[in-house]
Amino acid sequence: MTTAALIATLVKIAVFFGITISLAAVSTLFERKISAWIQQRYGPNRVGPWGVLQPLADGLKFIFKEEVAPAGANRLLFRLAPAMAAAPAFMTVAVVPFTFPLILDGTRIPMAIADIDIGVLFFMAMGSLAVYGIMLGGWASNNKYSLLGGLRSSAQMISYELAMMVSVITVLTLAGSMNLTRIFEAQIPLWNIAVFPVGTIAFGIFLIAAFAETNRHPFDLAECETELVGGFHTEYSSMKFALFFLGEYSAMVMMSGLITTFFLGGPSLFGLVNGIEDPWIKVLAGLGVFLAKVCFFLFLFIWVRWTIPRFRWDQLMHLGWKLLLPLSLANLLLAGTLVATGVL
Amino acid sequence: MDFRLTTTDLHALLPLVILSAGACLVLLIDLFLREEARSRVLPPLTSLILLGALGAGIEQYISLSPGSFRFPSERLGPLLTPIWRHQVFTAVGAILLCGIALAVHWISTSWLREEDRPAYGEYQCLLLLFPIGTILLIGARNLMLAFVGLEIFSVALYVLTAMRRTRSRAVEAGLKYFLLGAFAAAIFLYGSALIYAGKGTLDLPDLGAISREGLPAPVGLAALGGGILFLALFFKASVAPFHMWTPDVYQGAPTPITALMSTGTKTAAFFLLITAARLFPHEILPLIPILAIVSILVGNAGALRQTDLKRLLAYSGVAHAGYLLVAYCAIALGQGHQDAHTAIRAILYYLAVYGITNLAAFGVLAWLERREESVLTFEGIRGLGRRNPFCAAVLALAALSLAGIPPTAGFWAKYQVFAAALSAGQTTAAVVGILGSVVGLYYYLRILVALYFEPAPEEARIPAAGFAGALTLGLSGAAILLFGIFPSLLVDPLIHIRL
Amino acid sequence: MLADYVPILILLLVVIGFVVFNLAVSEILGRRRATRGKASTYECGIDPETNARGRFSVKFFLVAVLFILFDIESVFLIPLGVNLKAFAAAGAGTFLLVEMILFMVVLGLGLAYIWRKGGLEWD
Repeated sequence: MTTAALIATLVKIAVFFGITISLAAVSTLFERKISAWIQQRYGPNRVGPWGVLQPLADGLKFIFKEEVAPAGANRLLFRLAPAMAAAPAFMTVAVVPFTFPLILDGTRIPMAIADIDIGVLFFMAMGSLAVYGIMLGGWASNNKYSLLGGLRSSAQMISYELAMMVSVITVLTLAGSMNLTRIFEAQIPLWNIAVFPVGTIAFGIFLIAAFAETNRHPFDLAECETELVGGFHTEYSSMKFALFFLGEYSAMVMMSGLITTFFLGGPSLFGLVNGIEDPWIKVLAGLGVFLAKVCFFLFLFIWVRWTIPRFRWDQLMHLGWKLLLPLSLANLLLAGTLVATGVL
Repeated sequence: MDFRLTTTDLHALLPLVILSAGACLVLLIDLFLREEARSRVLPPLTSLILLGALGAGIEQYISLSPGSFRFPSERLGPLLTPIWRHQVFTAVGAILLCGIALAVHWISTSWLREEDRPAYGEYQCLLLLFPIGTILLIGARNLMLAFVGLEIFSVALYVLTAMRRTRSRAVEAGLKYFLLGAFAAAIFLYGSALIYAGKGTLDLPDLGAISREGLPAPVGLAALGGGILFLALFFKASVAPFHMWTPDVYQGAPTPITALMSTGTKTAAFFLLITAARLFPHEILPLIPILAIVSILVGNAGALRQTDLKRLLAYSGVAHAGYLLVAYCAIALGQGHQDAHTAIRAILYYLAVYGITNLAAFGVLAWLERREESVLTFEGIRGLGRRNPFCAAVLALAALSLAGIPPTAGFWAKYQVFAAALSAGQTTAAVVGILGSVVGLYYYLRILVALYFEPAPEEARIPAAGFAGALTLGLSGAAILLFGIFPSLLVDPLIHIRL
Repeated sequence: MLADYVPILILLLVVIGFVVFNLAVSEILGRRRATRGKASTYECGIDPETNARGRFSVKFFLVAVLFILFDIESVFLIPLGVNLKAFAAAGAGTFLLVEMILFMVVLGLGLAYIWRKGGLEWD
């Protein structure tokens, strides 16, 4: 690895990881602001103008809060769990292409931290790892609510992972590659969401599964305040709780980024950005478009949370296994038929 | 690359295709038909599927033997060539295994009806999966495919063993078999991985070529892998130090499934042992006669002490694995191809005869079996000669054949095995084998004594056997006599076997 | 080839650093005053009765096993999907399509089996 490549990697990590963390932090503010707006309240408005410094204040407060661990907890796993829950979401950043590849003097610098050929597999592997943090947290707390929350959450995540995986395979079939940069480049002429019907159905399934994977409403049975207090993080306090929180919001950011990449053409915008001559402007414009799309999905995540009531547990599992999984399989078969016969 | 399946490919895969499609069909019927309908539709359908596969196997055998009508080209297409061997050897295996599965299906129809909750559908589907897995194992040219086959039939057997899940003994047997079997499968995989690490290929003929005479013997990783691989196969064939699971599992499993395990698994394991013989690490080749001797001693000694007939047959199965290994010595240690081919024929003959004989024995036991398990002991069969002469006659024939008494097929099987070993210079193993057979006479004859020379107990209800079960027993009994009097009927078809 | 993965390693170090820093900083700076009440598990104000790590419904195990089954099956679909376009271009699309249909029919049969046998019910 050359020095230049190393520097490029470090810069990319700094920028993309920074963007993800900041977006996650900002969306905690927006969560509260938007919920207030929907419920005709004010929301946070004391820290800074319009409450913009609220995430910062929260972070500082978390740092100075007391760590409380219940007596029967398994100390090591109790500490490990928040790290295990947050790290996979952060790691997913590695494969997401935030914008068009930068072409400088004929060298192509892909704008993902690691532009690997098995990007999709990496994302799926990280998605599966996220279950461990939640399960460990629920088990290590030695609290019945936590355990139930952890169990439910892991069962829910693995159930929806299937449908998500199959709908991603549909995307792979359409793109013919597992490299995320190639996947969005293949959509520059036509976004996958517009490939009717297979792309549209896959998009719908992926979106629903994304809600379940991130434990968001209407699938937040892991937390389910009304019956499980706080679910798997009932016993957590201070920065450990913050890490769970940050992990959840980072996962939301990543899911939004992946939906954008898989179905909405990533940084492309009807060929407008793609046509820009100057490489730097093209990259920056692409980043802007990409982040705009991501922010739209973040808004959608929040909007849905404050609009739709929670599912019942059996309804949730039925939706995953009896509707989404068969539908995604049939959709994949249809996509396969269309691709193999040369229609798509 | 060319991706067309040729007609030869389909011809080679026909038994598998019939069985797989049949298994799916059975599963579908199980899902969408009601209980009574299932019990009427499924048994004949399963028979039909198995008969079809058997027919396809026989047809393959005929078209593959020299001098017969051949398909335009018996060479496989580009897709199958690297993974499948389209040979008489495979066809013989397919015939044997389909036949075994068919017989097991027939002896289990009446048994299944006696159960509290007859699991039609699942039972038949798993029974169809068994020949699929074993045929894959036999026909595989590639260790990976062999592993897939091993897993398919093993998983089917685990479930079948624990089928009567309300009984503690069945659950115990299922769990034991599953844990040890899964371990053996993992060992198989580990061995293949090591072989791949050492040789860079999993292709069986290639691997064989690497270790043939004149070339350096497999060393290092590959040798270790080969050794480990054989451990797993010895486990499946219940060769002595790896036989611990056999008695418990045989006793706990439903009797027809015990028959399947003792005949089908052993057949498949020995077929793969034959094809993989060249992989055996040279450093530990002298171990094979020792294993054979240990198996014969342990099996016979164990069987002497049993009062439960299924446990007795389990130990006798260990001893029979030992006799088979005696012939296997001739393949692994013998000089040249002549010895090897004699021994292969002897093993195949033995497997066929052992299969028929064991099916007859277990068929009778399945017939007698009732809810309480005490019936399958020496007590339970006392005076059966008067109570049910047909059953008693078949069981007596089977016992004689297992012991290797002349007018039965078992005699010729043992004769061929020991002759092959002697001609390859494996005198010690052969002599121990012959001595072991003499010891075995004691407990086989005990069965005869119990059948004919002891008074029957007071109450003695014998459940009615279905037509299929009686037919199987009649056929296997007749076959034991027929192949005993005219052994060439079974020897001649095996002449064309080449590896 | 393997150099493509070095950035992932670097990111992993960064992430571990970030997480450990966050956990450590609050352990060091946060104040501590343990009391018995604080250390007991939260159970809506009642003293907890038994250990929480008891037995739980076998259904969860069933879901886990089914997940593993279907996950492995879908892993097999990945190479099929990725290569379909290239195969179709090379004229072998029909072959791969037939393979795919066969595979997915068996997969669907498995799903139908679980469904009809009540493996997906939660009552």
